[in-house]
Amino acid sequence: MRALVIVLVLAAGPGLAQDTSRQIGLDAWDRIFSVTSHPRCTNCHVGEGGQPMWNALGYGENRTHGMNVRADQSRIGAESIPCRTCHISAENRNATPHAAPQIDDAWRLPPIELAWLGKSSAEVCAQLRNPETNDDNTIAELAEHLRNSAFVSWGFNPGAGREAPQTSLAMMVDDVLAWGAAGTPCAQDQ
Amino acid sequence: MGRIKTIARRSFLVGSAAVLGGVAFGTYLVRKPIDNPLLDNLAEGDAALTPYVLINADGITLITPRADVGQGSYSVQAHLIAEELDVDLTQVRIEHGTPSAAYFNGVVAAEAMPIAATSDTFLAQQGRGAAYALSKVLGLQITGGSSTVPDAYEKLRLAGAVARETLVAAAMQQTGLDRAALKTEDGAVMTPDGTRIDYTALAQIAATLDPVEDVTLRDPASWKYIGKPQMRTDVIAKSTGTQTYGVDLRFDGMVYATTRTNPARGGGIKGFDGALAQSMRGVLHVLPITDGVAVVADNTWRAFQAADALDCDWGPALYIGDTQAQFDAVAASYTKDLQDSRFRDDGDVDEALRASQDMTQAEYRVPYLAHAPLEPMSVVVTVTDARIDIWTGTQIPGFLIDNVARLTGRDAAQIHLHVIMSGGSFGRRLEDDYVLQAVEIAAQIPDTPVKMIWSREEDFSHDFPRTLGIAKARGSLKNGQIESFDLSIACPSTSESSLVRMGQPAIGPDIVIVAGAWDQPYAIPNYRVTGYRAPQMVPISSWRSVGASGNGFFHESFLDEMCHAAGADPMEERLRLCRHEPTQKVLEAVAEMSDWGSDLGPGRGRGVAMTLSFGVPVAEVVEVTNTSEGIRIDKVFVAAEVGRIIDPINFEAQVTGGVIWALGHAMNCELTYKDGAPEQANYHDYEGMRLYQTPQIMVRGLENNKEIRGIGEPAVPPAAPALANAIFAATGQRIREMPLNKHVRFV
Repeated sequence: MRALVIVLVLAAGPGLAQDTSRQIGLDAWDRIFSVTSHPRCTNCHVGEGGQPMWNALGYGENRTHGMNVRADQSRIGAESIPCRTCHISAENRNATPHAAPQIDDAWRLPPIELAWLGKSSAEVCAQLRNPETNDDNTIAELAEHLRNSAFVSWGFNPGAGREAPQTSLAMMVDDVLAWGAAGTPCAQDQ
Repeated sequence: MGRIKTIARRSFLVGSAAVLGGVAFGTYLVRKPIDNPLLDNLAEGDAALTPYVLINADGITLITPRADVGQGSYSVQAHLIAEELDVDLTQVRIEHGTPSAAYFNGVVAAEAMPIAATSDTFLAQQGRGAAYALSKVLGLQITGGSSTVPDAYEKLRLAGAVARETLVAAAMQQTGLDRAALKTEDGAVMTPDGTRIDYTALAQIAATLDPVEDVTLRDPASWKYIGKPQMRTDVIAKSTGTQTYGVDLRFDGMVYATTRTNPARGGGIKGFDGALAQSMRGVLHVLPITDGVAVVADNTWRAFQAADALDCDWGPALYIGDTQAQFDAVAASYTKDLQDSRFRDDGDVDEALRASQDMTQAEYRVPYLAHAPLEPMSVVVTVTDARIDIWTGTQIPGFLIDNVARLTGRDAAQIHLHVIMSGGSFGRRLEDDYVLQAVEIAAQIPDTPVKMIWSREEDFSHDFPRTLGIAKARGSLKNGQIESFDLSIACPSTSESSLVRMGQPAIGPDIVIVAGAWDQPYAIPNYRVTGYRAPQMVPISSWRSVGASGNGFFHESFLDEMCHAAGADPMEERLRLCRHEPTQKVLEAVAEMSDWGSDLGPGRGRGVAMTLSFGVPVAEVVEVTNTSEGIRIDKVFVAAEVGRIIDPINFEAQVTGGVIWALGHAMNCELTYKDGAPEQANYHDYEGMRLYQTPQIMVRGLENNKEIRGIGEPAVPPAAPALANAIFAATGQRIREMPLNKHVRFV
């Protein structure tokens, strides 16, 4: 539905379309950022520090992951405690609120350049449209990643008692496509 | 005549069909220990006959009557017997004794009396003797109060020596040789020509002899085991995962149960819907029990799943059930009517405070704390027409049998308790509520072994926690020195709450309310400690180091504040005030170990605390660094005085474990209540100290005291105040409530 709107807007005329499209893209970005800045995402998108976070778990205060995991260069904690020590790579309902979540993928932290924790909307926006800092993805590939990643899927549906972004995965995919179709505008663009 | 008497005594000594064909040796203590005046006055026949060694053709079994809850108790007890019996522990079996009055603990009751451990007056000795006699008369078989070693130290060595000499007498009869010609060595009697006669081969003859009671204990200089590092008897089983706990027991035809009872204890159940649970895979029964429901299934997992599907309508809490209101009730207990004790009242505190220009005041709080042993409550019970069999780890075998007898109306003789090792306790297995639940279940499905295990969540929601408490402290200075120190502690009575469940009266003031505070060996001119008894709320129980666990925090935090107010060094001031030489020595030791007084550099701090509990002065120094991410605990130095260290490795393990346990709770843990039920459910919201947070812990044991003491608990009380004092030294922030993470972050 949103894609259809974009097509209609694009057909309305170049000048108008550009402005309207930019606004639609910026609106889409704001919604994207509300997801990428959510603890469910930033707990793992921690960048160089390599220590996953335990924010917004529904108990205790925000802090680093309690097992002193240091994912380091390997991103899987091969240098200290591997993520798989607790996060088994198998699909699970994750029905116990405080148990280590399990998904059908090998647990790891995202690449270092995808650090989102503590970053502003402008910083993350610039990061995500640049293949150098978005794991070498086109926007279409990013959307594809969102659709297919067990991590992303779990992030929107993390199981009992866990906080999740206030939107759906489908809407996030649409927003990324809309942002891409609008030329990946960022608020700081002149 | 002599023979009949002997046999009669043997059958009493052995007391169990399981040991028929063997021979049991005991100690006959009528005239033995001159240290205890009460024993000199015992009438003929009013003796402690304590069987600890069983030998038959199959081998040697050492009976260890105190529970092993992970503290290495079986190992230490066995080594005490082995030292005199002369056996290698790799060659013997170790079994927990059957519940028996003969296994009374003569030391633990004295802890409940207002006798300072530092006091050696005639009255103090009489009091301890009275406690000993009372324990004997009651047959108080109990594991707790860090009393296993002090109680067993002489008793078990005597038992070993009596057994050895009786075996030698048997060898004399067999060989015709004199006593002087025979020696013992690693489970055998040796003759001059090198012939080795195994103890097991002498058992039959020994069984016909009167025990040789005129024995001399070995000179410590010749000890092979005591005082030397030993391999714990359970280390292989525990290292290889083969140690059997309650959760591991399996019997033919066994069924598996778990329970849901009102988390607001005693609130009852108004009704429940068990239909969904009953329909689930593997579920055999959904049964009512007191205050709740039990699910019985074909395995534990299915029982847990079905218990989650129960829909129960609980009755309301019968006590003040919300944390804020609970603290308010404690705060309101500082009244004349509720004053419980004032065992310490030196000088004239009121006058000293009145005369003071600058009084220091502070209020401290400690929360409820859960035992949370790693192995949740577990037990196997079989009920038949003829008998009830119970397998579980317990610290109170006699009381447990009495409670089961009361519950079922059976004769105590029909109740057979098989005590096994516990996967932790910290005082939780001084309660038998879970056993009574399992008996209720098993009685409804007779002739079937029922294994009942609580989920971790059920364990948390049905703990009898360590009490919460508040302390108000006031103090004044004179000429730059501490002139007065007035500590008032209010909390519910642990003894009142727990003794009722053991069917015992709780008479007089409860020393637990002021334990570890009233009897500290400081000569402050005006020095007062008052206990106030807050109303009973959540049912409470003993928790590793009991009253001293919170009171050490109160006393040592405020002493630190007073030292600071006086501009004095906290270590030097304690040493100046201390009038007990063994305590002075632990303070000196820990000062030396920690290089007290040296510069730690910016952002770092050192704190000291000393608590004398269970007769053991323990001084600890904690070093912390105030990092940009929070407080890091770097090092802990501990010096403790126990009179004699039975096993240096186990001693260090107990101290180290106690420090980690105490610091983890000080940092992170509290049990808060809402509507009568705890809000914490598992380790995720009741966190221990993690491995990466664990500091280096340096331990030194001193042996200056003439009394031997236990070390299971005394390392706990000083750890939290030493940490809080170190945080103050590093940051200037004084934290007066636990857990400390309400005010600082730890890394």
